[in-house]
This record gives sequence, C-alpha cells and structure tokens, in this order.
Amino acid sequence: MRLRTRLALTLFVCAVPLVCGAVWLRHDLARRASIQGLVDYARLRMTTGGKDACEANPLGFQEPPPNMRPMDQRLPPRLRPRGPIEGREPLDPLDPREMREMRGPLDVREEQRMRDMERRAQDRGEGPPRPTPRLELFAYGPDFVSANARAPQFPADLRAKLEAHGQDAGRVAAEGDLVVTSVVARMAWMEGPCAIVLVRRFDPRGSDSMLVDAAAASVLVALLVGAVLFAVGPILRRLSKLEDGVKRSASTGYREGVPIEGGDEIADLATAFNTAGTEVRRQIDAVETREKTLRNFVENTTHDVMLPLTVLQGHLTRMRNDVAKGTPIERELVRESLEESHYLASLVQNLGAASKLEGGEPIARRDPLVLNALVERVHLRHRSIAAEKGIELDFAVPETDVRTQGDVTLIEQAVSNVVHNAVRYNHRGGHVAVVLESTEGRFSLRIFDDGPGVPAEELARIAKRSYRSDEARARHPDGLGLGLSIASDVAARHGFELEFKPSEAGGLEVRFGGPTISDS
Amino acid sequence: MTHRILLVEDDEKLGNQIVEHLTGAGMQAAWLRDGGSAMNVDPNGFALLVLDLMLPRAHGLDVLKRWREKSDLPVLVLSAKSDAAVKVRALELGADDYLTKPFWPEELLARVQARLRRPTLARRDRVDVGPIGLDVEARRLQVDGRDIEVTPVEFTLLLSLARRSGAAVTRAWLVEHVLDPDKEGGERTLDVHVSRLRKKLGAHGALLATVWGVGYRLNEPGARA
Repeated sequence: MRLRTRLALTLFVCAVPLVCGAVWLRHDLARRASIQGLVDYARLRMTTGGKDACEANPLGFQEPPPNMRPMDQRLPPRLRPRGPIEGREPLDPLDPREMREMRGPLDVREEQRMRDMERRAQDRGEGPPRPTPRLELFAYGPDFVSANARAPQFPADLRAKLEAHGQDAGRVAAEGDLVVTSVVARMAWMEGPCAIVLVRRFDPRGSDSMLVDAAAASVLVALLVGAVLFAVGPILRRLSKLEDGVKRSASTGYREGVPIEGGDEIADLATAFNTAGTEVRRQIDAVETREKTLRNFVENTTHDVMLPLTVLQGHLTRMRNDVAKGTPIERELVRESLEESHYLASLVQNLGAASKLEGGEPIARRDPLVLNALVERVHLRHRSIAAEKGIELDFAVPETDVRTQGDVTLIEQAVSNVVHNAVRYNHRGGHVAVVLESTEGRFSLRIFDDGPGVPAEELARIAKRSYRSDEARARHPDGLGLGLSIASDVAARHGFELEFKPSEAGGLEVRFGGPTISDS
Repeated sequence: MTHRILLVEDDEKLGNQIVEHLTGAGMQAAWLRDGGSAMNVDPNGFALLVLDLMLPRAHGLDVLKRWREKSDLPVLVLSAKSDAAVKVRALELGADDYLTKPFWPEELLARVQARLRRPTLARRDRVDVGPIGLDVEARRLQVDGRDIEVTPVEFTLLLSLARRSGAAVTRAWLVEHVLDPDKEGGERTLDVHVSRLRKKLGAHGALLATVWGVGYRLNEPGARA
C-alpha cells in the first residue's frame, strides 16, 4: 500500500469512531439538558402560581390551557422546540377568566406581541407563521392518576423510575413524526392532586437530529484527511527524489552519494544511505583489489611454472638427442631434470597453499597431528633429490610422539619449503638436518645446514613479505620468497614461532616452535 | 616372503610405474583400474592396499569404507588433492597413511615397507641389530656371536641406539640419558665414548654412524644410509 493511501485510510479509520462518539455525546448531553430544562420548567411553573391554579381546579388544570397558544416562547432559547406540530386535536377551551387568572399579565403581553409579529410577518409576505412545537403540562396525584380527564395516562416507565428513586425522570422517544420529550417531577408538597407533574414537549422529527451533526462531522473528517494528504505531498516528493538518488547511486556502483537536504528524518535516511554506500564501495574495492592481486598471482605463478617446465623440456630433448646419437646421457642432466620436476611439484603445492591462505581467514582446521610422522614424510620427500645432489639429509625425532594441532597439509608444506630451500641452495657434499625436540609442553623443530645459504636477516625479511606481492615472487633466486612467505604465514596463523639465524655449521638455521598437546 | 599388494589406480602410466616399482622391490602387485571393481574385490588375501581417491565409477573414500567393513588390512591412500580435510577424512575412514601426488617412487616404497614391517616382538631382555647382540639382563655385548668387553656407559649408549636402530638420536638426548650426570660432562665426552665403541665393534664399527648436525645412528646392515 502506498504511503498516501495508508495515511488516508488510517486517518479515516481513526476519525470515524471518534467523530461518531463525539456526535453521540453531544446528542446525549443535549437530551439530558433538554430533560433537565423541562424539569426546571415544571417546578418553576408549579411554584409560581401553578400549584394554586391546579389545586383550585384539579379537573381542568393543564398547561397550556386549552385553545391557548403554546407557552414555549417562555422557555429559554435552547429549550425552545422548533418545527411544526401537525394533526393534533385542539384541546377544549377554558374559561377565559380562569385563564387570565392562571397566566398573569406577562403572558397576556407576550401573547399580544406574538400575534403582532405574526401579523407583521404575514404583511411582509413571508407566508403563514411557522407552526411551533407543542408543550403540555399535566398534574397528577401521588397515585399517578390525574383528576383531569384530558391528561394522558401516566407513562409506566417513568412511573417506575420515580418509584424506584429520585424526584424526577425523563425520556425522549419517537412517536410517529414527532420526537416526544416526556418529563415527570415530584413536587415538594408531595400531596394533593398536583403532587406529580408531567411535561411533554413535541418536536418534529429531523430537527436537531444526529444526522445533521454526523454530516457536519463527515465534512470535517473529509477536510482533515484532505489537509493531511496535502501536507504529506512535499514529504512524498522528497522521498521520491531520494529514491531517484539511490537508483542513480547504485547505477554508478555507489561512487556517487545521494544529495542530502534539510535536517529531518529524510535527511538522516539519505545520510545513512551514503554511509552504507561508502561501506559497500569499500568492500567492492577490496574485492576488486583482491581479485586483481590474485589474477596477477596466477599470471606470475604460471610464469614460474612455465620456466622450470621449459628447462625440463630442454633437458629431455637433449637426453633424447643423446640417446639418438648413441652417446651416454649426462648424469648432471638427469639430476637437473629431477630437481626441476621436484621444484615444479613444490611450486604447485605452494600455489594451493597460497590460495588457501589468500583470504586471510584464520586456519580452518585444527586437527591433532603427530610431528614425528610429518618430519619423516618431509625427509622422505626430499631425500631422493638430496641424494642425487650429493647432500646428506638427515633427521631425528624423539622416541615418543610429539603432537600439536593445526592444518596438517599447511604445516607439512611450511616445513617442506624450508627443507627444500636448504637442499636446493646447498652444495655437493653439504648437509641438512631436521631435528624435532619437545620440552615442557612445547616443540622445537629445527632445520639447519652448512650451505652458503642466504643471510638470515635477508631470509627473515623475505619471509615477512606477502606471497601475494610481486616482490615476494621475484626470483630470489628461483622463487625462494614464495615458499618462505608461505612458511612464515602458516607459522603465524598457527601461532607458531619462526626464527631465522645463522647455524653453528655456518649455514642457516630455521626454527619452528609451538605448543604440544597431550597424547589422547 | 613375498607380499601381495593390491593397487587401485585409474591412470595407466602411473599404475604401470607403481606396479613396476613394487615388483622391483620384490613384491607382487595386483592392479585394478576403477572404483567399481575395487568395491567388489575381497581385500583379504593381500598384505597391503594402495588406493587412489579419484576413480571412475566409485570414489576412493567409498571404496575405503567398503573395505573397512570387511578387513583391517593397512591401506595407503594416494591423492592429487593436498587438502587437509580430505586427508583427515581418509584417516577417519580408516586409511593408515596418505601420499600426495606427485611423489617419488622411493617415497611410495618407503611408505609401503614401513606399513609392511611387522612390529618386532619387543623383548626387553635382548636387542639384536645385524651382527650386534645386546643381552640387557647380563649387560653383555656380542658381535658376530663373540663377547666384547665394554664399559657400562658404552653398553647403555649402544643399547639406546640399538633400540631405535635406523633412527638418528640426538647428542643432547644421549648426553642426558646415557652419561652419568655426576661424573661426566658434555658432548665431547660422548664423542670419545662413541669412537672407543666403534673400535671395539671392529669391522662393524661403520654401523655406528655419525649423523651430521644430529648425533648418532646404529644402521641396520643392508639398509641405505
């Protein structure tokens, strides 16, 4: 649902019961006031001469006296009934003398004034006078029976109310075309034929009805809804503008922000969007950078793989030619070929390790592993090449298993890289040793040689470089940096120590250190 | 005794090479080329199973699972995947060892032989390495059946190496465990004991090898240094 529709609907749903309630309340208050007014009128009338008149002539007492004009003009304006009374039988006339006695001089003057007004109105051509509503008053004895034969029977419901409690009661009811307000009141004297008074007022139906109020209220509600809808217009326009801005920003890959206007909630929304957009942009940039680095890495690695492959192909071709010529194959050629293929395998393994480390996430696997077996496997892996190069590669592990936790493939690759370097850059007749020891909950894995090696500081510096950088992979020599960077990264991710220092034998010593776990 | 090895490998060339190397090392090799037939074979009757993981018709890990239902024979898994998750999964399913491609033929052979080597009955009272015999109870050394006079330290030293024959033992360990801490000192003393012991072993003195940077090792005759 659109905002405007929702707003209009909500407003409507809230306003209708509210207005209905207000109309009903107003109506109810008016009704009560009307009843109270009639009660007041009854008491006033009876205490200002009415009682005497009634008790003097209980058989004929009624107000207004038959054939007289209604007295309602004497009522306060709000009680003054409006509208015509139709189809009512005129009541029997009273003796004019009695009447005068009953009414007093004021009534006579008033009557005269009314007649004059009507006549003047007729003279002005305003048509017949508006028939005025009828007000009647009857007196009853304490037994709810009137001495006056013309008096209507005492209303049963009002009688019940009087008997139940109170000095007066009233009700409004519809009778045919008329709305009849009936009021009964006990008089202070409590006795005699005029102890209880009934006043009835006849109003034409439709005047002062709830419908009129409801119609007015409906107009009010409609106006209110219209005003609100009109007021939300600018807000909706700004929202729509913001929407356009967001779409435009998205189409530029969140490089462009949305314009911020004013300092209200919509401005806050725009600001929040810009903040989110900046974050999205930052992440896109990071992903793009990483992708680019990875692409470069793959390109460079392809180059690195192709180089030993080309050397290998060259060696194999020479061997084939030697075989064709019948000359013996050079042993050195075979050794170099083996070494190139060994290097290739290691390079591809490192590529796999690098891709695993690439994300920079913590090591996913923390499997328990036995370092003794790992050292044996690494030794076995490089023993052939070492022997081929005339290098003695030896290892020693404790008799009992030394266990630690981590990604076995990555740790093995890290150790293998260090051993590979030591073998690769040693000279014929050189030595490489791998020694695993453990003391007090920590293991120490040393790889040392007596080769010329690379200065330890230089190695540590190489190891610190990211394997993703071009520099790490610049041949130093033969891609040394890649393997050591991976070793360094793997050690760091596992929380292992990795130290480089000159070995006692004059070469290089690399040491991994870390916690052991108990055998379980 | 000739060991029968079952190889499951789909690559023709690699399979041929492995069979060749196993046969060359004096073993008998049976070769299956796909996972389907490996599923149905009865592993019992072989001494060791060499299983590739990426196989046509059935994955190596499934084959491994099936075999493990029937047999406890050692299984060596080959895979091109250098992934710790696969490695650990294979070991969980009951593989005994794991070899990542590419590997040297020597690597494979060494792993196979290590698995085939029966655990020697650990006799605490006597240790034999080739011509060298050590009577632990009597603390007596025999070489080629003849008694050789050795000092208690020399005997303990040789026994320590003989118990782990073929493996290098560090100088530091030997100094700590062999030398009397009250009397004798460091690695120099150890070296003196070793050179004396070599002389006493006579022609077999070379079996007691110095391992560069590490310490010493008692070689088993015939084994490569």
